[in-house]
Amino acid sequence: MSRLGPQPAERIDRSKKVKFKFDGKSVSGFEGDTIASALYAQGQRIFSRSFKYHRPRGIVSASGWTANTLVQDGEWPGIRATTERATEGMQVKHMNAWPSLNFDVMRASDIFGGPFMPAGFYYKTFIWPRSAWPLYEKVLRNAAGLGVMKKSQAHREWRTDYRRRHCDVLVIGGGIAGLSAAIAAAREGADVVLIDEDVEPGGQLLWQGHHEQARKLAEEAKAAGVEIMSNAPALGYFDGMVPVWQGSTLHQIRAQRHVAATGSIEQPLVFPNNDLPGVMLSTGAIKLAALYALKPGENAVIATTGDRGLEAALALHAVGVNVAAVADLLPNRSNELTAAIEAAGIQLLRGMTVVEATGNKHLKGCTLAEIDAKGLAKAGTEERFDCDLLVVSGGTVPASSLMLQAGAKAKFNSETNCFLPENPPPGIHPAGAVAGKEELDAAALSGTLAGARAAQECEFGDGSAANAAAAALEALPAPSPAAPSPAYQRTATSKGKAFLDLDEDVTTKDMKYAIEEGYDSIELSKRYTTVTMGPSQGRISQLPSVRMVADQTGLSIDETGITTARPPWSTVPLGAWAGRPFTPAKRSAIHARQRELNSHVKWAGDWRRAYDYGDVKAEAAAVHNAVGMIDVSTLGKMIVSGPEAGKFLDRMYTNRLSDLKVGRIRYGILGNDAGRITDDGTVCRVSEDSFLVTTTSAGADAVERWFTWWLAAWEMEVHVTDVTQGLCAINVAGPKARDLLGKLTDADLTNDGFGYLDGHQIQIAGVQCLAMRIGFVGELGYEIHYPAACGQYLWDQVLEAGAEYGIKPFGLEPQRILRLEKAHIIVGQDTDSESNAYESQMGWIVKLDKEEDFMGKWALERANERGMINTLVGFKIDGDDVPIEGSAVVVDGQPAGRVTSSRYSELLGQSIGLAWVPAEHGKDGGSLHIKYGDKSQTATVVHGAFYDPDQERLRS
Amino acid sequence: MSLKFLSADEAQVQGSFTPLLQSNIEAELVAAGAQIEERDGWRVAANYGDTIAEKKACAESVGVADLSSLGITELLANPAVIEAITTGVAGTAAKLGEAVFAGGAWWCTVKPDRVLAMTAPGDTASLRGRLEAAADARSELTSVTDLTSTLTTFSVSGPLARDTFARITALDLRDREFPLQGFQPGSIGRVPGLLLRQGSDSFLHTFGAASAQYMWESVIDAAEDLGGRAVGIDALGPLGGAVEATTNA
Repeated sequence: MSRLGPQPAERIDRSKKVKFKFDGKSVSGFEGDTIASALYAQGQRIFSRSFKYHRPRGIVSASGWTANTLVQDGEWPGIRATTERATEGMQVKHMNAWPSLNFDVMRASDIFGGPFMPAGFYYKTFIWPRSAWPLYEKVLRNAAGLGVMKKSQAHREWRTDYRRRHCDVLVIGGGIAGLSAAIAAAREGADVVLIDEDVEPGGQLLWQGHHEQARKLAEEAKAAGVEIMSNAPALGYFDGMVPVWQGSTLHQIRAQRHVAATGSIEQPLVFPNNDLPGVMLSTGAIKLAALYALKPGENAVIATTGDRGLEAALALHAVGVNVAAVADLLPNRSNELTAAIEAAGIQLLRGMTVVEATGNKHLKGCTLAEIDAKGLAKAGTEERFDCDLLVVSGGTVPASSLMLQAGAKAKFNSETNCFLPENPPPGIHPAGAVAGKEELDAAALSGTLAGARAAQECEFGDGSAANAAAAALEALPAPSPAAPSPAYQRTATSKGKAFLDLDEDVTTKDMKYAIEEGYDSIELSKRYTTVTMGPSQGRISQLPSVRMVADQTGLSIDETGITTARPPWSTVPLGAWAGRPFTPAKRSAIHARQRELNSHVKWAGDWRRAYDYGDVKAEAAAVHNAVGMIDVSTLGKMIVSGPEAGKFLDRMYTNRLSDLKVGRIRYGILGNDAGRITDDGTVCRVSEDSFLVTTTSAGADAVERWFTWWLAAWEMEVHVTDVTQGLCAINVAGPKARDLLGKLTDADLTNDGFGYLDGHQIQIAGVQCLAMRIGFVGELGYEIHYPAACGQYLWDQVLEAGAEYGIKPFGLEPQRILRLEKAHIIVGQDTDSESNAYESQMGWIVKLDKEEDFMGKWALERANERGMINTLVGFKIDGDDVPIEGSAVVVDGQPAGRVTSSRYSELLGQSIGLAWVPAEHGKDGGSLHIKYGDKSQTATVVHGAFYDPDQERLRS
Repeated sequence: MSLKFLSADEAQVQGSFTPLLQSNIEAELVAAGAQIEERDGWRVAANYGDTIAEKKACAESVGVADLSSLGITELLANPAVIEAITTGVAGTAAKLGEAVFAGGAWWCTVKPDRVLAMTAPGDTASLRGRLEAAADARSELTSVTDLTSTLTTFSVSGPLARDTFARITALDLRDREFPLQGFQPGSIGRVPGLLLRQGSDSFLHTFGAASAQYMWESVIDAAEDLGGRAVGIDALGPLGGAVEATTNA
């Protein structure tokens, strides 16, 4: 057992045990343990096998900065064991090893396959034969061992939500800088949210002996009104919106100002066998001891380039770890920490570092030595130490990804030996380590400064708090220097692999190989080797890989630069980005009734509509022979009113509408400036100064915007109100339509009283309606518009009254057949952005002699003068073989037109349709060749309606 | 101008015909357990079988009610005319971005030249009549249109009402940005909507009636995930507000 006695900052509750299984074996930990800490306490040291070579891997950072500790929890792969809390009954399994973690047969790829598996080997190896790639892919994927997904898609789905939050200041990071910033901003009066990825705010304070200060600051922040979100990593920066993943919710936080207090990430050293279990960052070793009361090892060696390793040595010594030696790469460091180490009797080796680790499944020892500028051990300086814990600290890099995503530029700082973000965009204030202020006092003051400035920019406070913090920050002494690390360090005889990236198993040799192959920039080598592309997104591999590229190319580190920062900064399930699906759907007020009638509902634009009720032929036949009813509530409907309403419509439509009599209807087409058809519909003059304008279902919004835009430009005395969703509309059509309606209204429905193209306000079954006698489907028909609140009621009344006539509700599909029999076009289907009225065979509706200038007039005049190039014609084909819509019309073997609509008409016993053809091929009675798939058919051109061309039935 | 066909409340008993006014989503409400009752000519979800629990939801979490019967009348005119008419009819006028409750209606300024008056179902026709009379008396172009059937309104009430909206909209509903009687348009659940804060934790959400089923599913889903529920109008105060919410201007 590795559990220490109670530690002052420990997170575990020793009074509450937590039991779970790991690879089938029982594990007992305490509440507050992570999966990894509970396992570590029971002696587990190997947590996974590496991605490519299947080398044993253990805890490195205890922070989730590597893929080393990914495990499977039940049916969820990719769980970070070092950050995921252990809970009762968990079923944890290892990933990427078979048959077991201790003995993995794929380790052979490391022992035997190393020389044959350089970077990019599979790009070259598995390219031939191409047809075998699916097989290769399957094998490679299994070998890579990414865990086991749930079998069925349904079981993979889980609920995720979005939550939007607005605030004045968003503080990203809950370390001392972030907490100080949040407190400063909140005290100035700002609405502040602080997000932190750990289970509680405090950052490094929590495990560096300052946990009481951390908790006090957190309390102060809460008292000041800060909303603290823990376990909540920021994923990116999107023009001021920061997505934050917490639990199963993606919080979209929009703030006026941001404080980036994202801290720093400790960097490893690169040396042979630097991946052995037992090699840890100082952060990892101290966290295990301080937060989880674990003894990370019995015999430790420390190799450091700065103060962090020295602090770790003292902390580990304090909990009873035998620290055999501390190697400080800086030869002349002398400060309180070095004095304390020497006072504790720990051997301090100045100017030395680790050049090799040894062991098989776990660290057994290491070699320390002085090194030259290229990292090679100086002969005769090597000293060998037995140890089971090698703590390394290669300095830190700022966690600057979010700032870089926001637009800051990374610049290498030779004093701190890391890239610092510079020139952040306005509104983003860096604080703490990410601003180069790593020391506690400096971090706190820089946080206060950032928070106060951010609040001031939101018009809170007078700036005095910020000024005071700036002055205090200026007065602080310079921080302790860090020794520059070489790209990698080794002895002349070292043979083990030295890893730049533990996630992706990228070694120094891989990077050399990539550069030799010509991938000699950091961006190219990244893509070739996949360095920094693993789950930890380069947290501890970017700086080593940059150093390696610089070393091999001879460029400076600054010249080499870093890779582009991209979201997500923390890995999250895809469901996090998806959130809760929203698919807005419009439904008419009668929709529920139609569902009850077993309609087949499909999308039609943004509406859900009944396509049919199970028998398309019977529905169409009912309209021809008796009576049918269709819900056309989706039609766009607008009230256009005012003294200039008629004049306005004259300007918008190609025909004349201002002379329309009250109670009369006219069909119209809308065009754009180029004279192309954009929409169509009917216009009914309801009163002297008001019209009901209908549009296509899909065009309602666009027409409303079009009207409103021109009204604003012309400043006419006209109002437009969109009542599309407020009016139900049903079309009752068929030879029995009049008889049916006669049962529901006292209004005069005779041809004399209610003729074709009349629109009358009448009461039907007690409901005030605007009934319009029009006929899209070619039979005597009434389009009845009435309040949606009465939608279902009137639908029911019509159905009931129509029962004796054999009424059938009909859907969109029969309607499309019926309208095609009349050769009525559907704008958007039979026309496109190039179609004008003349070529669409609707020249009769263009009134070039109108008093008012109208939309597209000039272009239509030109089109009229020019004559038709193409034309829309009807066609018929004997038999029931229907060319699909989109089929080519072929002239001399070349495509020259296309079919826009086609159906089989039971009534006519023919296939019919509409097609665009070259004008010279569009003569009535001419022949067309239509090709679709492997078929070719000859069709006859038809001008006018296929059915009832004289409109006798319509007007009956 | 006579546009009676826009107004559901113009429906009348005609011989054996007795028109019913109902919500677009009555079927969904019934499926959720609604007890439908007739009030002021409308079939409404009076309760879901437990009014006490529904009131509790509005007090402790969030309650969502369908208020399709809420009368909505649109007044279009130039701003000066609108101010004159609303002052004449209700004794007050709302500024852009706010609503005022006066004369039994919420007066909501959508644009300087467009105001919506939201009324209890029983008051809609009379208010419309008064507005039409006032409009007829003006020489300037003035339009009064009944949008009761065009727009649907949900009441979302309770301490978790804001959290409910946070699941479906990016509108900033903090006190400072959206104070009591605030009124603003915005995208809610990816559908254009209007939001009125009629009480401290009580909102009226108005949107196109054709989206009612989709919006009901979206809002109820968010509310239920937070511990809230569907509530009937018996759990609410006047005009769908929290019981204590409606304020007089």
